[in-house]
Amino acid sequence: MKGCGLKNAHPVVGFLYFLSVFLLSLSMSHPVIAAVSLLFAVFYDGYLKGKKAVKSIVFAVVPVVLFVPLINGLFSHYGVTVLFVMKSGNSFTFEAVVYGLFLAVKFLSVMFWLDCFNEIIDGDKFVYLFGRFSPRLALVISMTLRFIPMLRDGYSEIEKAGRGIGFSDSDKNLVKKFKDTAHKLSVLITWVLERAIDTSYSMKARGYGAKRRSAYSKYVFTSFDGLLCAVVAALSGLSCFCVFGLRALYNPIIIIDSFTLPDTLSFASFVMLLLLVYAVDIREKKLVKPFEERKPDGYLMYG
Amino acid sequence: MPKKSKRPLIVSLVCFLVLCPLTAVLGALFLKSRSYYLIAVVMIFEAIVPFFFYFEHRKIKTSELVTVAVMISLCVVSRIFFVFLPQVKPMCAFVVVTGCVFGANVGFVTGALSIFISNFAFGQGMFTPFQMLAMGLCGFFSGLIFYKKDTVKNRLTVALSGAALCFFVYGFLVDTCSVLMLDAVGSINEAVGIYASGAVFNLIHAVTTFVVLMLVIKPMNDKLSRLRIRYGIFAYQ
Repeated sequence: MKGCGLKNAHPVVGFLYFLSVFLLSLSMSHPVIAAVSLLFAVFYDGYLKGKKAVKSIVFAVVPVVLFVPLINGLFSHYGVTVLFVMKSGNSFTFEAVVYGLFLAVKFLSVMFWLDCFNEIIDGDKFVYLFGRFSPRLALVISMTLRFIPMLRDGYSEIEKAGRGIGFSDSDKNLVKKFKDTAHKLSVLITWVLERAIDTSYSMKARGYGAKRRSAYSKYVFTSFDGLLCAVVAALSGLSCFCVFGLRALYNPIIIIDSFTLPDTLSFASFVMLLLLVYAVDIREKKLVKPFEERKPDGYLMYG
Repeated sequence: MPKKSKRPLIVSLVCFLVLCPLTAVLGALFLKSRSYYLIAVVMIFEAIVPFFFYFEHRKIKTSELVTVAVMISLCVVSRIFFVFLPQVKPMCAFVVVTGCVFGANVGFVTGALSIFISNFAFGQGMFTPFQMLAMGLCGFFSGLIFYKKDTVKNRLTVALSGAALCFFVYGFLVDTCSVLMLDAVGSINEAVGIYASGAVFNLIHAVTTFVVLMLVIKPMNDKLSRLRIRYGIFAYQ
């Protein structure tokens, strides 16, 4: 599976990585850096999700790139290059459109990074990361995650029982159908609330609240994870220089800072930060070879 | 009666009176106008922490804890159930009900966590912190207005105030997120335009909340009050 490198790494690594990428993407004001960030975000999203990503890319990129510059042009009238004068007497300026385009790129890059974040960090990992700060909240979250499928199963059971006592699905009468569904949902809610009481008795019987709770975790922080954290921290620290240092002005005229040598080096480290995930993946692939490749020569695995 | 811990009070005072203004001032000084969104998210985080801190440190029974989890999962499921209809989300109604029956703090925690957990299914977005605060406040205010009051039996009052909370608190905060994301803070016109275009969606959301509350407040209040009377869950002191 793709993206396994970061997925299998310790959750702290993934979280640190995305946190620094978000913060950098949110605070950049140079169009080239924003464009590069967007390009990598879209590519990584496609890399992680495969064909599934195409839909979100088309439906997110096209409207945002079209509409945000248009809206910005319609409502903001700063700038010196007037493209045309609108009916209201306000001018539609080149600068406003360009700034809108920059905003769209920045917004989309954060959006796609968030999409990648969702692929890598799931609910379990989040509970693991923040459980130690707030054990009660973490417990509530993980119980909720358990109750959601339970509600679904409970509903299908109630539906079956309902069919047994004469509620039929094939009823064409909408009002009756609505009433039946409402009744079933009411039963479901009563059932799940009773279930909560049962659960709490069972928790008490097993000693919940008697002592400080300890938590089981399946994640192990290896030395490689430590190395990754250090690399992520170092690269994002270096990238700060170009992200915060290089600025662009759109109002009233467009002035874009050009890259100096330190900026270029800092920019290179930003690109390396964005490329890091693929390097981790390649290492993971080398480490975990497919089953056939691992089979020693002349040795029959299945007799 | 054990002495009430002062720590939650101290934490909320520090967050609201020290950290939030400090963030605003430091953000204005150092980030300049670079990213209002970032400053806003940090401030929202500081605003949410006291509520969760109080929840973490208040005296709570095991059964109450599990009931909160059940209420959150009901909210999440109600949002997932109507995923095919945009903006038709009964979630807000369930959060309001929870706030009414179980109190302001539980209302906040339920609202904020239901958004957070359901966004694992819908995808965490740039909206998430704003939605969490907004939905949490819906539960919080409904708790302030109706908890331990007889007015909760008046369907119309609850439904109307639920819809108002949904429209003004939730709608306003989430639209503010769009305004900050599109960096429209510079021009009043653009900001007003964004708020106006959001109003239609907020209206649909508010109407949904109104209708669902009219339908569920009586049965839900009965069910949850039964838990309170029979098992002493969030019993009035």
